[in-house]
Amino acid sequence: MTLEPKLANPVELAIPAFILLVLLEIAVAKRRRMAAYELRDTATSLAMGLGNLAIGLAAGAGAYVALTWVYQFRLASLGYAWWSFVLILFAEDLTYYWFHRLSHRCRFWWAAHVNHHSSQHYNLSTALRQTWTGGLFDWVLWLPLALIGFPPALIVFEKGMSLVYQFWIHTETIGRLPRWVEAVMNTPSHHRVHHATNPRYLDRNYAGIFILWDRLFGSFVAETPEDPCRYGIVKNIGSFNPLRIALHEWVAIARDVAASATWRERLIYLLGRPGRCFDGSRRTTDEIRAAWRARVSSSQRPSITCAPARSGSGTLRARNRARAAPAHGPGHRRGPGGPVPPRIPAGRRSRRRGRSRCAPSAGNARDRAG
Amino acid sequence: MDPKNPLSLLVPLIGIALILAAVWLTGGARRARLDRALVLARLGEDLPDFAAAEIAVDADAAAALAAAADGTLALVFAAGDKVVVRALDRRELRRVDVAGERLEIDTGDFTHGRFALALPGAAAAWARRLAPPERAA
Repeated sequence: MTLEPKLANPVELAIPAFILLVLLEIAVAKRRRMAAYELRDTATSLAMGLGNLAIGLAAGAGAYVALTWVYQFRLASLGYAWWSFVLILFAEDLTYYWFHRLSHRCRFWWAAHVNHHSSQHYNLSTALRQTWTGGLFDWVLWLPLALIGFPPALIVFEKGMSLVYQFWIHTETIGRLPRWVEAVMNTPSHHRVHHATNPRYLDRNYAGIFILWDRLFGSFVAETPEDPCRYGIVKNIGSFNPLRIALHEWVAIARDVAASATWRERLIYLLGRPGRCFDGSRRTTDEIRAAWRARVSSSQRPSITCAPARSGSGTLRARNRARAAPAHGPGHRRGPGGPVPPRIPAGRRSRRRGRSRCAPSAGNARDRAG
Repeated sequence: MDPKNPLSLLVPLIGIALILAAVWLTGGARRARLDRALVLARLGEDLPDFAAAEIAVDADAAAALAAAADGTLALVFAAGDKVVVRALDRRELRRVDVAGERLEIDTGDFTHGRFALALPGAAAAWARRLAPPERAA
């Protein structure tokens, strides 16, 4: 007979620490004059965290039953030896990496995950903005761990540990950590990239605990000081209603599927890449990145036929680009001595220098998407 | 969260109250105020292919409309202290009405679809621009 140890729920135990750390971050942000927290945004994140806990009670029970059922057919009995805890740490984290990658690359999974990215703020409360619908089905990806032979209680315990680890990396108050830490672990810097909508950062750094998986599977991008992270989603939402945030992508899928003419279209709207469409009105992250690369390369190409516009002239579009850097308005980051001067990416700097009335068009990926 | 243990519910609730109080006390109850420069900046970030030719910021500085030379339109609005940008498709707008100096729009967006922009002297002109192509013609 196997003795089932009573493993604690790491998330429940960590809640007081979550609260204290958020309060500490608010104080640090105030001291550094960073506009890190906004009232309604924070309230929404906290409400979604509470909702996730409540829904997790029911969904978690179902997941546990499924894990226990699969565990009957296990290939080995790995038990609760110390090395099982080491093995599950890596096995669960690898599972999380693929779950997270799928959650960004398949619209069905994205619909459950998008709410975690829906805030334009990036702070510890954002970590608590958790899914309300993912718990209903995302556990299927953890079933293979039970089949291998990890006890269900150990799998659930490690999932909780992973969630607790990922809490502290949702912050702008920590810069870069020592090189060896950045090389191996998921850090605030790596995870800021994951939450950023800058084209170079989109759909990168899926790691939970170890950033090694991103390095191994080619999805790693380092944070670049020249391209400060802008947070949120490609099509930001203007609501603080948790229910709308939790369901908005599901509603969008339902509308797309209802308006589709063929089953192929319906299937692609449900399981294709987020942003994939047939009317050219949206773009996938790959298309956004391709358009950005084309813009950057065309702006770096020397202009032979067009003279730069004189100061004070130029199209609204050119002025628009020149002003694009300090774009966060009242919410933008402030340094200890006041607002931090906008850091203009290399591409933008060259665009400003070579501002031209007839700069070559980079082409619109929307046209290609159609 | 253990339903049998009231502390497991009480601690998160007290924590939420403390956090919200701290955010409020540190000046977290703020809203973005739109102006032309901010609208242009956000259009440049969110819709880099959109070349704004005309911009109308509403009197409350809470929302703005932008038109490109080719007739394409965009809506920019404040959400808390941040800004949200939407490319507008005239065919998909559910409702465009003028009520006095206010332009009322329903974009049909599930997350935030209804807007009332105070545009003294310009509401009717923007309503014509936002009308579906067949009506505008």
